[in-house]
Amino acid sequence: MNTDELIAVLADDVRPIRPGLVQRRLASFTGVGLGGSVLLLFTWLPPRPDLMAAMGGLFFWEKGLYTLSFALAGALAAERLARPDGKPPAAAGRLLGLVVGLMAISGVAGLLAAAGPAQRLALWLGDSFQVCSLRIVVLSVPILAMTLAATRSLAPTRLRSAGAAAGLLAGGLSATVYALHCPESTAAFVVTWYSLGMLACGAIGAALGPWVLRWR
Amino acid sequence: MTETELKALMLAGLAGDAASHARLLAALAPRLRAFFARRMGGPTAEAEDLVQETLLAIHLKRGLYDGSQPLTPWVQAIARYKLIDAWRRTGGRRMDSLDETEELPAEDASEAAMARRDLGVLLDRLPKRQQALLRDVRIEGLSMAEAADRHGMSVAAVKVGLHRSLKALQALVGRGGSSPDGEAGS
Repeated sequence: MNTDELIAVLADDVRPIRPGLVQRRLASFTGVGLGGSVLLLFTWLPPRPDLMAAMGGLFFWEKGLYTLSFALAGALAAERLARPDGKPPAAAGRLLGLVVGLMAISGVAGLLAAAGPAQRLALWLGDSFQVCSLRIVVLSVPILAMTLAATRSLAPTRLRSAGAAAGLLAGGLSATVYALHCPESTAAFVVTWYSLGMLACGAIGAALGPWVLRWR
Repeated sequence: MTETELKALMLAGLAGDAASHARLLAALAPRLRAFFARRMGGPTAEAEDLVQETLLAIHLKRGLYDGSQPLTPWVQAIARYKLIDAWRRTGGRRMDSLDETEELPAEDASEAAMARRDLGVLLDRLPKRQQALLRDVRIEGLSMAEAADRHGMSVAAVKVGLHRSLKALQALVGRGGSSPDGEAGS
């Protein structure tokens, strides 16, 4: 087939395209992954015993907003980077900078208000610092598989960045899911161990990107 | 043709205007030819394969074009991706960041490798029904309605079938035409 014939074949295949393909694809795939992550959480770990009481407090929601901000930043970046000419949006970086900054200030304030070094360490390490980041990574697996699949089905060309965005989106959501189990409620804990887990998801996505996001 | 004109054709094509879409692809083809020839040491058969692969990708991925952005960089990003992808496939190398990688080694593609990736050969490897559709509509020049009659399908089914065969063609291109099933692709 020569190129003119190919063009004629392609022109025969024209149907109107509904706008919003990227958003729809990312949202539907991510939704399935999120469902998988919630299922995984409930078959693996119990909800935090004080969940109802915690939902009446402020920090539960601050924590949720914090992790969802990572997911939002990842989603904004993924929406751009899934396109051939997509560049990472500055808004995503600014959003991350803002929420990490606020949570860090709050965390430092909490540590400074602590009575002594031992209490300070307890605030920072909580009861679960050894497992927190790793559990966020494990819970992100179903979501990451889906965000990567969605991205691959589109047309990314910056595969490392697109993978990082897919990872950050997955990590932000899995951390939000994990917070249904995890009772830790200090800013110092969240800004360290939650952030570490979510950024690890982004790093895994970035590492996988050049391998798994190739499309034809 | 200017960016503004190209973009208008793309937007009309996205809205379903086949004539505009054909004009867009026809206008892009010589540009792509120049793009690949410049980077592959001349207008080789391999460069022409990449022109076709890129046109196919532009067609299949056109839903990813954001009308608020200029069209030319979008097309160029796909072309550059296809170039690096071909380079990686031939060299067996992992594709890394694509940013501004312009310097590519001249490729030493054998006749056999070129033939394998020729779309005409690939067409022969499509499932029979898809092949028949493509040949009837394109090569014999039947209308969609005539093809539908011949195959006892509805016009809509012919359109879907053509679309599928294009995707299958794309999948075959991706795998160097090694297998006749058309399941993969996106």
